[in-house]
Amino acid sequence: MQPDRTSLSEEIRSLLSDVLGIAQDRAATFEDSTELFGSLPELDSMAVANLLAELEDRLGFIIEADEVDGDMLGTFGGLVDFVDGKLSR
Amino acid sequence: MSFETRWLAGLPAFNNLADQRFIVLILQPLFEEANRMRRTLALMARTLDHNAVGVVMPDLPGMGEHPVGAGQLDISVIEASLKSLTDALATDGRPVLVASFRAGCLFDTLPGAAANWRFAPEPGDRLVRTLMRTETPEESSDTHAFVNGQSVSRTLLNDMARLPLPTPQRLRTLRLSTDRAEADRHVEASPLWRHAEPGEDPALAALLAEDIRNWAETCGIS
Repeated sequence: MQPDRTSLSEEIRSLLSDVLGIAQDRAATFEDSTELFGSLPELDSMAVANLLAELEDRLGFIIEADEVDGDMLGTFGGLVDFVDGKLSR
Repeated sequence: MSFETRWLAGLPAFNNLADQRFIVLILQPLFEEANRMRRTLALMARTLDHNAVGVVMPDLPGMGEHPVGAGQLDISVIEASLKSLTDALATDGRPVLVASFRAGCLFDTLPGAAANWRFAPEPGDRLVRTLMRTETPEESSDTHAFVNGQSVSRTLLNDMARLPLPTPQRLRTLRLSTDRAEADRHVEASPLWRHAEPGEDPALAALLAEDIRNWAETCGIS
């Protein structure tokens, strides 16, 4: 069963904390409008590759190259929307 | 009890093999993941060593301090290195348990291994997909891709992408609790191989060392 958006947001906060090595209490402050790629110094191109791989491992889907764009990684809410969309397919 | 690095079959290895009942051959993750896990694997190796288990932890070709760089690497070079190592261990006569991590598991079905143990195994296609996401096209060429900050042969990447995980006979597999794939045991820990900087997880190192020792006992080789 697909998790609701609140649970999914929690899971992605935990994943960002694990992959980027940022404290959980800092990740807990991420809201839909929180900017990620370009604003979060920990999220460089190498970290993006690891973030995508970890999303695939944990949530059981494959992310194609043409699915990765500014909307998906621009904000925390955009990332949650992307994952939500992948899980509902 | 000594714990030092020496050279074995041309590869650096942790050494304390003299009086041990069996030997654990550690196959580290490949490429950058090896650097991110190395400190934790060294802690795990040290714990095994302190518990009277012989440990060999080679740098595979293309990894760590091995003289063959990633740019000259192909699968036959990795396999030849491992054969040289297992031949050397075979002359020792004691049972060998192969403990492999991440994509190191792609090469862990070795002749003479008494049993296998894996942590978070990763098939070749996933490894290559993640590597290629880091490609810098302007630094790449027709023959080599510049990935994860180093030049890697496209032939190697293509060959590795087709490598499935082998299926050794006596196998125990551990995965993280966040990994949905099947395993004999799921453990709570952070995926160190994804971190931006090399980290250290002493609790995980202790847990893995204990699980390896228990598996050796279950298999009757300790």
